[in-house]
Amino acid sequence: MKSLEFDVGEVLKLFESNKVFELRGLSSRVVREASLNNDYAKAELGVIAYALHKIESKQHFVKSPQWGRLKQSVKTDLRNAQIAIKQNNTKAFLESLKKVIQHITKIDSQLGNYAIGIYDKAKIKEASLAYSYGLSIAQSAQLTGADKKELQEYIGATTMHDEELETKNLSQRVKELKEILQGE
Amino acid sequence: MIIKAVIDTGTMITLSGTCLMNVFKSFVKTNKIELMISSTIAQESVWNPINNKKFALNAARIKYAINQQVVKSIPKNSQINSEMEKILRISNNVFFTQNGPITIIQAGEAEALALAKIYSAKAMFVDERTTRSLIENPQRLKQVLERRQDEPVRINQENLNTIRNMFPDLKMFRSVDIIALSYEQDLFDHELDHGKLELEAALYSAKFNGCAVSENEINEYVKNAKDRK
Repeated sequence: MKSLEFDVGEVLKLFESNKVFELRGLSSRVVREASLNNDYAKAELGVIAYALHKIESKQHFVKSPQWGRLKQSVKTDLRNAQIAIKQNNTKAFLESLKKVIQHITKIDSQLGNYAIGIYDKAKIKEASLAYSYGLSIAQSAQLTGADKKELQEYIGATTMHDEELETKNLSQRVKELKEILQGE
Repeated sequence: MIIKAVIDTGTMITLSGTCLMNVFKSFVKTNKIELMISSTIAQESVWNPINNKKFALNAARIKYAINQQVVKSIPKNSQINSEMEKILRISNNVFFTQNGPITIIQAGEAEALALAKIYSAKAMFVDERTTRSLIENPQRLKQVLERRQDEPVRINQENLNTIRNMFPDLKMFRSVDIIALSYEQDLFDHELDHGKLELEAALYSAKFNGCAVSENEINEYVKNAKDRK
């Protein structure tokens, strides 16, 4: 299990060197560890890493002058987060992450094409990972701050439920339900 | 005879999302089910999403079902609160990695289980697999956690026994089980024709709305179902 200090340093390093797909991989590992420890700060960092990966993989974002300017602010706030966590200042750490989220939301509102923003989608995507790791839907949604209905719908569109065999199949459950309702 | 049962928010969301609330209503009335939902869950599935435009219509359908007494919203009281806290504490201290306990469920799910315990419910409707597996097959949940987390997971047997002993007779079901049995009981006519095509479409719609069911399960069930046209 890596420390939060290490993780924020990794996010900063990969973001500065434009390693887009590595950022995505890092977000998965961070959220897996967050789901093991019920660590909300780590989960938020994982969502940020995924959202930054999404922004950096969209050409119309990368080429825009607005993003060029905001990118510097993201780096500054990630550095501030790194300093804060080194000093064990959780409040300042979370405030810096909040600022990063504000930058993401701002650029998305200016350049995004979808009704659901990049950051909200990132929360759902990372919550679906937490669900795949074994947490309940509500717990996964709570961990990343995702909307539970959006998460349920998102999971329904994946093959997650095809990969794990149910304890009882549909026919067995229907038979059991019938027996209960008939008072047997 | 009236059967007591508890329904989780996810199952309500699936049923409203599939537009099968009339089938659901007939199912509850025909089978004389006293169906309960916790007020927290009602809050979660109705009042919160009613502010989210994408889900407002679903939420309004659930609100209507509650107002029509198809589902009874049970206000939170000290007994529910105390059971909920107990369930939450024990459930979240069943599975451990080397870093400590894994928090697997949240207050809403624990509150639904608390209602099932207090009212001696025979059935609980939960679409997502974690809460269901905790009660009916914790070994399966351990396997999921181990495989996905890629770490050995240890079970605290004492806590597991405590949680399982709280629900010795509780059976778990999903929205697809309600849909399939409604089909067998000819309860589709409030919404659909009674054909296998409609059955298959309804089951897949529930799956795509997030119910934990596999394609294989649906295909096998539909293949063996009688056409009731």
